[in-house]
Amino acid sequence: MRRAISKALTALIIVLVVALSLGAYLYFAGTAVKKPARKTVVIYASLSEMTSAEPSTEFSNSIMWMAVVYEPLLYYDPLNNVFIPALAESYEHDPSGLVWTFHLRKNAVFHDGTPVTAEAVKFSIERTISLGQGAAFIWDPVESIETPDNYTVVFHLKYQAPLDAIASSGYGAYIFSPNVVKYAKASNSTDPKITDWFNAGNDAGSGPYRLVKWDPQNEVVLEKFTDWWGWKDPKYPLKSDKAPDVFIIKIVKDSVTQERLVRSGDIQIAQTVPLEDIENLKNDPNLRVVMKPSFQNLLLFFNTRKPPLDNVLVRRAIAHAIPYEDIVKIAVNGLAKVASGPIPHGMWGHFDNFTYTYDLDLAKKLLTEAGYPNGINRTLVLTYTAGDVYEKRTAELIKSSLGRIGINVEIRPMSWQEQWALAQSGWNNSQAAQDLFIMYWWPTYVTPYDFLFNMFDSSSKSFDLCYYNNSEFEKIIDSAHQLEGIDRARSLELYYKAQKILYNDVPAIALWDSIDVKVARANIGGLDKAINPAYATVVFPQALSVEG
Amino acid sequence: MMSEVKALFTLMRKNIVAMVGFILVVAFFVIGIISPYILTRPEDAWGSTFNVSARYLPPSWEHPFGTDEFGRDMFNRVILGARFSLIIAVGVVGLALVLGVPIGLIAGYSGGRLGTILMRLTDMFLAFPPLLLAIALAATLGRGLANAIIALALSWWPWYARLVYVQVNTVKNMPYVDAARVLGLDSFTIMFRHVLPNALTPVVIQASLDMGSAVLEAAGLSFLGIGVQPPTPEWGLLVSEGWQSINVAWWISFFPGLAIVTTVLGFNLLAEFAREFMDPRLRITMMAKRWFK
Amino acid sequence: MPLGREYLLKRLFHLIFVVFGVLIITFIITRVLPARPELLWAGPHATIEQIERARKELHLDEPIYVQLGYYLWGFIRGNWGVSWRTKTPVLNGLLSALPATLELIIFAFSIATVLGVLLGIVAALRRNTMVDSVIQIFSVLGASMPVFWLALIMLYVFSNTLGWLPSSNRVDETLVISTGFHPITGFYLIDSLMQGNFPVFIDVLRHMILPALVLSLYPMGLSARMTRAMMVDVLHEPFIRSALTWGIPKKLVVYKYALKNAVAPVIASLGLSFGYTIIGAFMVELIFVWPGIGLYLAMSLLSFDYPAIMGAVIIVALFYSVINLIVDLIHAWIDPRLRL
Repeated sequence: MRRAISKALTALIIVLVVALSLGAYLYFAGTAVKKPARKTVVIYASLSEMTSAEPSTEFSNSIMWMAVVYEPLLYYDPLNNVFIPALAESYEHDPSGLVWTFHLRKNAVFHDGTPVTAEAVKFSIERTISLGQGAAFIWDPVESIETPDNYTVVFHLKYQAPLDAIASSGYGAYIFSPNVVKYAKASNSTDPKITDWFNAGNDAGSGPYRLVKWDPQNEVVLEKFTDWWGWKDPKYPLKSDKAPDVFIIKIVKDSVTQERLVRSGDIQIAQTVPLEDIENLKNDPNLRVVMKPSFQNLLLFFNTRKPPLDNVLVRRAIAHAIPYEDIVKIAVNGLAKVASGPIPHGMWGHFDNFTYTYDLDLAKKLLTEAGYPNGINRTLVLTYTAGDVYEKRTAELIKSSLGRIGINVEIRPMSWQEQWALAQSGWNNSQAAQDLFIMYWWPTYVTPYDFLFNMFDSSSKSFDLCYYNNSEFEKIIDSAHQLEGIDRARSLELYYKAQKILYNDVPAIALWDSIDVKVARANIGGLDKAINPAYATVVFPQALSVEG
Repeated sequence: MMSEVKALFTLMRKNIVAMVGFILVVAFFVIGIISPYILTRPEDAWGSTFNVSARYLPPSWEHPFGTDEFGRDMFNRVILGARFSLIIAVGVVGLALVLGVPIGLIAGYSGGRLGTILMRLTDMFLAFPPLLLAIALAATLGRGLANAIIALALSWWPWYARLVYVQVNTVKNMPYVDAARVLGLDSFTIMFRHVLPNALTPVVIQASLDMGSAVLEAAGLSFLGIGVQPPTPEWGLLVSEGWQSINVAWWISFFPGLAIVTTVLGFNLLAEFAREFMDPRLRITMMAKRWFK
Repeated sequence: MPLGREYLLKRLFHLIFVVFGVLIITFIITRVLPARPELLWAGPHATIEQIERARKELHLDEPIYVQLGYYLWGFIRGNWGVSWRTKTPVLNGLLSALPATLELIIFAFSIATVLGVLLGIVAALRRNTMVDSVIQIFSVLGASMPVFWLALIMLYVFSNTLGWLPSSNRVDETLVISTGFHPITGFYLIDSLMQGNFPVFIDVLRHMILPALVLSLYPMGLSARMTRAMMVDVLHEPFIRSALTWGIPKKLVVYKYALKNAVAPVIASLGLSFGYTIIGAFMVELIFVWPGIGLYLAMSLLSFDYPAIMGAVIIVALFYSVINLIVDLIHAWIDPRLRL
């Protein structure tokens, strides 16, 4: 008995000693991990992976960080219709509109310490033009670029064009250091070695942050560039003293997760959250919901070469058979505006009288007029991008509504690339392409021409996927574009005329204009400045202020 | 065989687990077959309509399973979903049997070289974990109900082939087969009249019980987006559709998933029972219990 | 009992043969079945030149056996194609995602084995009582539940509603930065301990517990059932009865003798449930946004990134075959009767 007790006692004592030492170790180990000097970090979740790191040719998701690491000559604030100076302090153009002069600021430096000179501007833009990919087409009007001195750049244009808008583009207008040729051990500016150097995660920009980690599928880490000219300029609007030291773009591929992460504080800004949850999120004191207009819209394209959609009456019938209000309510929980024409709300060139009424009787009447009194006997194929919930719901709603006027629609989700390729193949064989497809559009730089040319001009084979070919229309938009920088009023008149043509011909229908909704932690301020519809998906961290 | 079936049912009546399983499975079949005719809101079920004012309604008397983002009644959708699950279950298992049984039969009966080669072939297919081959096939063949059934069946047939092979191997060495051969019957007759029925019984039982797994796997494919396509109300697809709205409307994902669980549970319970029934030791115990109760 | 060399060689040959078979099947799926395999390889966004180059790369103008040869050779050399979505090689993407999946699966299986065996023992000891019935129902339920559904529900309850646990990823980024955590092996639990980084260790645990629990349900149920069955059988053996009548404490009998015999069926059950669990891991990774192979595959499926899909399928099939072999070997080592 006694032996049993002392055995148990010994066991107990051993256990206690072990537990205590373990506890002590853990405690000290925990406190030993001292947090270093607190760096403020803001994590911004992105829905899609980053694409390339090439400032001359990038035309996709990487704008999210490129617009922060690199700088264009100007930024454009579309809601106040002003240009904000970036690398160019001021600019002017001559009366003919063919010579534009930009004056660069003198204290801008690249991340490698070298100053931003006119030579660098000329180098960057000429390289972009030579490579001819991505958004290089925006520089088409440029005949030549001169650099009379280190801080003056003169553009000579072939024809009139709004060069200030062009130079403020979020794609293809970035200025980078000519030293890339040296760093990449390349032979000239168009040597592919430079592209490889960029895509290996190197940056040659001048912006407020530098690229520190490049893992395009998972995250992109940016760190504050302390020598940025903007930090030292007290009056510069697009900056804040409490900007984060580190800005991370983290790839979080679905909106439900982004919402969870921002609620738990694992990320500070979510790019998208399920729109159904916005109401609840507004009531959360730890979060703030920021809504701003965006220039993204969703359009339904018709294959205008494939019967029965080659008949304009059929297209008009469909236009009146789509429940636009309901689509906005159901698909995006009311967080969009019913579109009126292809130019979104808030952008100049938008007009409010290009809507179609939802009138099933009228639709049926038009169908009968077109020769289909009993509906259409072929099943039309509508494609949309797989994985996009809002497109999916919109497609289902279109299918249901068209079913009511006797048009049978099969909705087919496809990957974006497949869908796009299928539609493009319609230029060679229109019968092989789909009948209907929905896609988003947003501008490269803010001008109605971007929408109207890319989606409806017959020379834009990549995106004129309704195969619209109307030379009168094309002449009108060309003139309108040329007059943009010089005679805005006349330009507007012409854009109205062009949209009226589209309204009558119905090669495509704009469904809704997105509202940009971002959810952030309550301690992140300055979002209003940092979000700009002209730079879709970008949050400018230099304008944020991190509290606490 | 009839006496065995009768014994089976008598045993089942005493065994709660089996009864519950049986009821669930029968319910699944019945609902699956008659569902298009008992729908109270067929348009909601088939997904051809929408009702903005009825969006995201929580479960109530009028909408026992609530409504989804289109205002469609979830109860109707789940009921109709049973039909698609039934079609898939029967289709997958049936097709897999059609493919697997002949191969297993030939391999087992001929034995030797041919048998080994065929079994090696099935081994290659069996090297893929359950859904993976189906995923790869669905990615190649394309989305949709038919392709999902084909993809799943193509990944399932090896199981049955192997099962039949083992059974045939056992049976062909039985005395009565030797007797038949001695009596002068030709191989063909032997194979079809004697070997096949005895070899097939366990396979057919296994296949019937596997239907539950077919439903589960098809739901997985639809959830990943490569199976059935919207607006078809297949249960797995309904769960994935409810994912986006889960914070405002948990019921959209919940009830279809519950339907999957109850259906598969029914099959699994029956399978448990069948396993015990097939194992002679336990069967004797079961029967003994019945005699002495 | 050592395994005969002959047996080992036999199994190894079998493995190589199976791997070969997997590659051939995927070859058929990727090159023979599709109408224009070069389109699938290059991606629809490709230019005419890129499509032509794909045709040459795939040797599509040559006879089938030559194509097969190049296909196999390409795999061995590590050329698994380039993902359209990420524009990076498929093999790299898969390898970097592998540790995350492995860590999750190993953790889930550990939970499943420990809890499953315990539950099985309890059920066997308390046979035919309420406890036994509850455990049995639980096991069958585990095999009946769609993993993705369970994951969604758990997420909703524990993360969204109760807020007890984080809802995705492996670790909190801000914590990683502020404590300077670097992955070494890719297994964050090990890495954080190696660096003495306790906060990250706890954080990783918090992130892993929910997905691992969900994933472990099926194998847990299976091992509980098999353990129970084995225990019930063993407990009826005469030598157990004799031991009990001789006064050896029941606990000792159970844990020392009966448990030894339970090892074989537990291994068997793990082997059986492994295939199902791998697929479960995909669903769980998708819902918890766990950056492993499952998520890679799911994202590839969504964007129809064909080279990535096939790469993921192959790596999982290979992995599965290898694990099956290991399980079979262990099984055979323990029980020589099974060496077929």
